[in-house]
Amino acid sequence: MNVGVRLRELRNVRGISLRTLAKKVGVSASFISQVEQNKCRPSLDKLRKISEALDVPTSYLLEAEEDEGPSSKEVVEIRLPNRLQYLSILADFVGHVCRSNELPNEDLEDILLAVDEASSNIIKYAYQVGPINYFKVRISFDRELVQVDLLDKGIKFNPLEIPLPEMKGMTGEYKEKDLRLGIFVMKKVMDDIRYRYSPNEGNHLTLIKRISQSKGHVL
Amino acid sequence: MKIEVIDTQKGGIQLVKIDGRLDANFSLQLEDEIDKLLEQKTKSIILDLSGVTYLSSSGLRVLLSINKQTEGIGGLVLLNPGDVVKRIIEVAELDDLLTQAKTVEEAMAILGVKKKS
Repeated sequence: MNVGVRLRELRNVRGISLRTLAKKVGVSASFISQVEQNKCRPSLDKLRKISEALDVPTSYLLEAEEDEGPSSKEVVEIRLPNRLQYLSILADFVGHVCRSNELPNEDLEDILLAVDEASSNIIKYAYQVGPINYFKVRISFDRELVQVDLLDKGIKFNPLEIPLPEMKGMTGEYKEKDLRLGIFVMKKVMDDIRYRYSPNEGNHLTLIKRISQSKGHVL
Repeated sequence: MKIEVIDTQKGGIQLVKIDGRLDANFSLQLEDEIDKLLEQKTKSIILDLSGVTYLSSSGLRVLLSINKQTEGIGGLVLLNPGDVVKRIIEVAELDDLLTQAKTVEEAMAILGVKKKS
């Protein structure tokens, strides 16, 4: 998380308007707004005044910028039944979480696609639909990347072991290649995919996406 | 997801409008609906995707299946897919296989050409 996001969140929690905060700090409302959008960096002195006005130690806002160790990662998690009808709820959830972390649209679309394919595979192949069971989707954000972990206790299913399709021949044997097409797409939109399995923890798939610098929709 | 079948009154061409997410949960429903049409007199399908917000590999598989089934007798044309759907088709490298059109007229023309060839 960065200073801007943390500041805006804190201001929301405290219920303090831009104007009120600006007045307390002795700056313009647009200055605060720019800080929140990370369009400008406040001086240490201003940061101290902002912190005082919001009744938090200055370190709270500073940490947002400096502390990027693994423990500082924000992690959100959802647990869903092994039913295809929950895929749309999962997409809404992932969409909201990514948007609130100001992820560029293109990256969001890629993540939605990979998470949907991976989850469909868990429901269809690891659990074979079967009796009600659950899988977890955990999303964590770093400054430069988004990591999505999918955990299920179905039968061992490693998507990375599935051979990829010859795309040119797709029309012929489409039914059989459904699974491969999904994995092909997933691999293409993610920067890294890892898989591990243990009898106790079941399948653990990790999807990693580097956050692109440009915020526009680039094709 | 919502599926609406509109008769174009033009020999064997059916316009099918889909709205919502075409994911693993709804792909079968679309496939069933299209299968029913193809069992009757339908030879070509214009699939209006303007209201489709998401397309998964299962959805793509259904599109490929329709493509295959109408091959030689008519064809499949995707009408007005949105940016998200277009991008997914490109990512899957299926943009060469799946014909797209911006208007119904354009789609009809494509199908007309296809039938003659």
